[in-house]
This record gives sequence, C-alpha cells and structure tokens, in this order.
Amino acid sequence: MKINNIKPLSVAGIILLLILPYAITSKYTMGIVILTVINIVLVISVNVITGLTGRMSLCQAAFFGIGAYTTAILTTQYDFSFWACLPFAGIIAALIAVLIGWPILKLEGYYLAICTLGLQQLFSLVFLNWVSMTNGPFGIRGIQPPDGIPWLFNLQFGSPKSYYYLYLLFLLVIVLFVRSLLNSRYGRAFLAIREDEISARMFAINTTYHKVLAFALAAFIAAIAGVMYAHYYRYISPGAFNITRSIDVTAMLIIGGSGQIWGCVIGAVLFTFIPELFRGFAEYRTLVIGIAIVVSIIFMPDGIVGQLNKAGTILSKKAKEFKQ
Amino acid sequence: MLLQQLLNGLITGVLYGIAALGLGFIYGIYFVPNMAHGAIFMFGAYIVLVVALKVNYFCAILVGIVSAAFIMVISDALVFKKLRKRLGDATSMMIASIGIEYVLITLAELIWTADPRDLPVPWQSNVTQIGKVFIAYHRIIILVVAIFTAILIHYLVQRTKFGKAMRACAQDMLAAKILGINTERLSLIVFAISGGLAALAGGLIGPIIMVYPTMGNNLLTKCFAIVILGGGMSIPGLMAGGIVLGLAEALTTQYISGQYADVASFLILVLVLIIRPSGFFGKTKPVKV
Repeated sequence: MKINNIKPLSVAGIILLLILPYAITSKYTMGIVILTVINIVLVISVNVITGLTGRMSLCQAAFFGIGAYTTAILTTQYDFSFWACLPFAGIIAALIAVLIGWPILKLEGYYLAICTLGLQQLFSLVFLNWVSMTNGPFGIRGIQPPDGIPWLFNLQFGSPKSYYYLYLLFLLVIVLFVRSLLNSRYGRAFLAIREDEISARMFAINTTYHKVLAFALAAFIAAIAGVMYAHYYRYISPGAFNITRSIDVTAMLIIGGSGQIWGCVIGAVLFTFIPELFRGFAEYRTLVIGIAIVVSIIFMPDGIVGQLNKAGTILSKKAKEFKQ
Repeated sequence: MLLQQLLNGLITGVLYGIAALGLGFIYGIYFVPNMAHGAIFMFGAYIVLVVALKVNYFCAILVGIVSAAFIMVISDALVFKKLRKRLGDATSMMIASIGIEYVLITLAELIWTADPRDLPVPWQSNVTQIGKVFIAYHRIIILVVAIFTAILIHYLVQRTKFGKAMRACAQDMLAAKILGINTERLSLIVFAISGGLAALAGGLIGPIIMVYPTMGNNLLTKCFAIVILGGGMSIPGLMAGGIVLGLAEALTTQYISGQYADVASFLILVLVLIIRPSGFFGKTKPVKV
C-alpha cells in the first residue's frame, strides 16, 4: 500500500482509536469496546467468504468456537502459550474448513447456506456433547490472559487497556491483510467468482480451489477471533458458538454492507455497541435487531455503506452540475 | 424396544413432514428459504397452548392455525412481496426472514417468558398397548391428523384448479402470470397454508415436548433437511423425507445415544446436499448458462 493512498480520514480514525481508552473511564464500556473489536474480526471473516466470494456461510460461529476451544484446551490442560495457540487454532480451523469446504462448496446460493446451517448445528452439538474434550455445557474456566512479552518493554496483559491495544493491533493486521488480498490475484479471483462463477472458470480461474481457499481463510480469521474471545472472557461455553451468533454476524455484514471493510466495521459497531447503550431495554434488543434486518434488506440492499456510497456519488454529481 | 423406537420415530417423522410441507411450498413456488418457519411453528404452539387452557384442544389447534396463517400473510405483504417485486434473490429473502424470526422469538419471550411450558391435554397419560408396543393416545392422534392433512394437501395440489395454478407458478411464474393466474392472490393462500401447517405441527408436538421460544430452531434445520431430501414440492417426497429423518433419529437414539439424535438429521442434511443436491425424490435441473 502506497503512503499517498492512506486517506486522511483513516489516519484520523486510527488516532481516534488509539486515544479511545483514555476517553472511556468505565470498565464496563471498555469491555463492550473490546467485544466490538472481536466482533469486527468475526464479521471480516464472514466478509471473506460471503462478501468477497459471494458464498453464504452460516457456520462461521463454529470456526469461532473451534478457535476458542483449541486455545482453551491447549492453554489450560497442556500449558501452551497464547502466542503458540493463536496461529495453531487458526490453522486447525482452516484445515477443518478445507476438509468440509472441498465437498460442500460446489453447492450454490441457498443450498450452501442451508448446508452450512446444518454444519453449524452439528458443531454446536459436538461442543455441547463431547464432554471429555469440551466439558460439555459447563464450559471451560480459568483461561489465562495472553502471556506477557518480557523482551518487549516487559509487556503484560490483563488490564482492559492492554487487551484493547493488543486486539486493535490484531484487527489492524487482519484489515491490512484482507485489503492487500483484495489487490492480489486471489482477491480478484474471489470477486470474479462472486460475480459469475462460470465466466470466472472460462478465464481459467480454478474456482473450486479459490472457493476452498476463501473458506479456509474465513475459518482462520474466525478462529483468531475465537482465540481473542476465549482469552478475554477467560471462560467459554457452547452457548457462545451457536447458530444465533452465526446469523448475527451475517446480519451485521449485510446491514453494514457486504464486500467492504467499512461495512464490517459499521455493522459490528451498530450491532454490538448500540444495543449495549440501551441496556435497560435488553429484552427488546433482538426485536430491534430483527426489525433492523428486515428494514435494511428492503430499503438498503447494499447495506449502510452501499447507501452512503450512492449518496456520495449523487452528491458529487450534483456538485459537478452546480460548478458547470 | 426397537419396534417401540421405530414407531415413535415414524410418528415424529410424519410430524416433521407436515412442518416441512409448509416450508417446501413457499420455497418451491416463491423461492423464499423461510428461516422464520421454526418461529412460526413455535408461535403456533404457544397460541394453541394459551387457547387450550380455555377451550377444547382441537378448537385451540384451529385458532393456532388461523393465527399463524395470519402472521405469514402479514409478513408476506410487508416483506416478501416487496423483495419479490425487486427480483430479490433467495439469499436476501433468507436474510429478511431471519429478521422476522428474531422479531417472533423476541415477541414470544416478551409475552410468555423464556421458561419452557407444558401443553396439557386430557389424554396426556393415556397409553394403549398393541402387542409389545405401547402407544400414547396423543401419538395416535398425531398420526391420524398428520396423514389426513397430508392427503388433503396432496388432493388440493393435484386435483383442484387452485393446485394446478400453484404447480404452474412453481414451474414458471412469468408464464403463469401471462396465462392469467392471479399470482398475488395465490401468494396470499400459499403463505397462509404454509403458516397453518407449521402451527398444526407445533400444536400437535406441544404435548410431547415442552413449548419454549427457541423450540423451532432445531426443527427449522430439520425441515430444510426434509425439503432437500424430498426435493421441493412433492408431497409424498416430503412426507417420506420426514419419515426417513424420524426413523434415523429413532435408530440413533436406540443404538448410540439420545443426545446424538439431532446429529443424525443434520448429518443427513449435509450428506444429501453433498451427494445429491436435488434430493432423492426430486428431479435434477440442468444448469443454464
């Protein structure tokens, strides 16, 4: 990425994000901000498969759970370090995704969505019933915060601020990775498959390979989000990785605007942060989300970002006419 | 014991078939993968529960059917019709129906709280014995009502003028419109039937399992499995799919563990999609380029 490509807006945004923890005093609000960061990572993972490649996956929470359970089991029972688990959990999820994705990704549209829905339910049942491994409905307790890094200013993790900066770093790395992916051969192949798979194949794109790759990448990123989740909450149970979360993150992506990083960010922030502000009306949270989904799919088929882009184009056109 | 399990599986399967009929209809005709189907099923069960406390159980089921049909018609008018007019694809319909599902489940939680409730029927503990097999009265009622409904719907689709219009729409909506079929009025009836069938299944299953706001979640995935297994709109196919699923669950309960009964049906869903996406009873459609 060239330096003159970085818009002043993103620079301002990053500075704002860096000083954010000093503006927030309550520990509770800080917790929501960290949850938002985790959710953005998860939505980005859905974006890779649903937004970029156009294949709807409703089992992203399963990979999220695989990441969380891998790190939880390895760190609590086998004394692995957080830093070893982070890539390891991602790779395990990606391998499972390759094994699953290779047979199922030939399915199209709605069929794939239903198939991944079934897989999500299967994984949920495995998390719940494989008691010797996952401790069943009781979940796994006592997950430690990320290990400190002694050679780098003796960094220690545990306070909300440290979590925030660490996770923000992960988020930025993932965002940069997905952006650079978009400008690469692979990203272009993903987009070509989204637009029209048969023409993509005619241009000698190995569509099966690329779809499986996108699915594995999505699983990798979701598992990273899972690791972040497990080490922040330090307790995981199957309820966090069920079908509701899969549908939630897909809805976040659709409402935010699929295919775009900003869409992911806006969707995740809207879904995580705004409902928490109205904590007193917690019962109405899903009601509001449900209505928001319906309204946005009817009136904003391209999501909020798509709508903003449209408004931007109209405005610039008007401005040009005005100048003339 | 095996025979007992198989019989129970058969009856559950017939019930799944009825629930899946509603889903298969609106997918077959309007391409709406209705994720709210499980929620409609749950809502129907709740309405039956509430009304059954006051009046006869069968009257309550009728009330449940009518109100669920009403909910479906309203959601069609408010949501799906708009998406259809914009040529919305199946995926956007699916997302919209997820929104409806959220609304319905939250409403149920607000009105009836999240605690599981029992749907009492007078013959709850009555059991009859045939040979070595025990059958609860309620299961016999389920079997009779479900089979009767399936035959009725089959007759409706295959023998009436209305059914002919439905089949025409399923084949080609545009051609049906050109031939003078009022597809909008048809959608009203199809959505109503779909909701009614879901509520019927909910009301029938209520006395066997508890009624709670998320009771439809697993059923939804099973219904999708049946629709895919049965290949869209064929009623014998859907009923057979339901029975296959019910028997598979019964066998898993018998030989492995009751906890893994649901695993069997989801596994069937995934495997059928991988091996034969058009279903075992459906016809393969060639891909147009």
